Amino acid sequence: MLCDQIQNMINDYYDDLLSEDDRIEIDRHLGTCFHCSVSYQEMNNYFEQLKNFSMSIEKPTGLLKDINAELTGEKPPEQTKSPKSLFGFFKKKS
Amino acid sequence: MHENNNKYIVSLVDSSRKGSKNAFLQLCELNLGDIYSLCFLITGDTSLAYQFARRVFLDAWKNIKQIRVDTSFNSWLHGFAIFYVLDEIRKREANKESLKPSTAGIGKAKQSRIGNFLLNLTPWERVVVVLHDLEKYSYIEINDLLWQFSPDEIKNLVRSARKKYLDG
Repeated sequence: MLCDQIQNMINDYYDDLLSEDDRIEIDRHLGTCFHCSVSYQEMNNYFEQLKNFSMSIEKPTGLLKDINAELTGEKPPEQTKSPKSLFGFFKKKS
Repeated sequence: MHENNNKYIVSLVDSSRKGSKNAFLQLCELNLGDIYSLCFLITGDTSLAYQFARRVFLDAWKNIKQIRVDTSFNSWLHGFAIFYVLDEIRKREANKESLKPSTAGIGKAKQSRIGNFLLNLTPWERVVVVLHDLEKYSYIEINDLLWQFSPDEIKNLVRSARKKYLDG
């Protein structure tokens, strides 16, 4: 298999959409081709970074307290965040 | 340890189903970071993630009796959260409200390459990247949730997003 073909199939390889034969051939190619193994490593890095990033997001302080307060009826609903803090995300189109 | 932990969670779910708010709050605490992260990654907005995560837990409490005994609480809650967040995004889109990430309070997100990449994706690109590349939904499963896109369109969105990261 040529490098161009491998590069075109690298997404399918990661998405597990290839036949067993194609996977074996790509595995074999990656073991011998520096250029394609770099592409493979970059894709590996992407998945690893994505997972690490999701795990690095800190829990917001106060959320559990808010849930507790609402469940136990200590606080009226929908008053946990100020309207100002929601400004800027879903900005209405002018 | 893992088995004991599972037993503990099953007992908390069982108590919650019987009406124990304390048991449910323990489940909230165990899953808080996970669900908040999911809401933040999909919306790209800390305030909305807070609001959505809170709502997800409160709605989960109302629906806790629906959870099947053989279902993992974490999987059930994830599915619940994804359904809720996508519904909220659709409602806002129907009201012609544009999606614009806001990362107040999460400064590091803007500094890392992957954080910057995620926050600069279009809203639907971000949704499909999170569902496919992080939550490991298949293209067909995402199509069940996002019926406005075909599986091929979803695949193209994921791949164009990956290309942005790899070329960036």
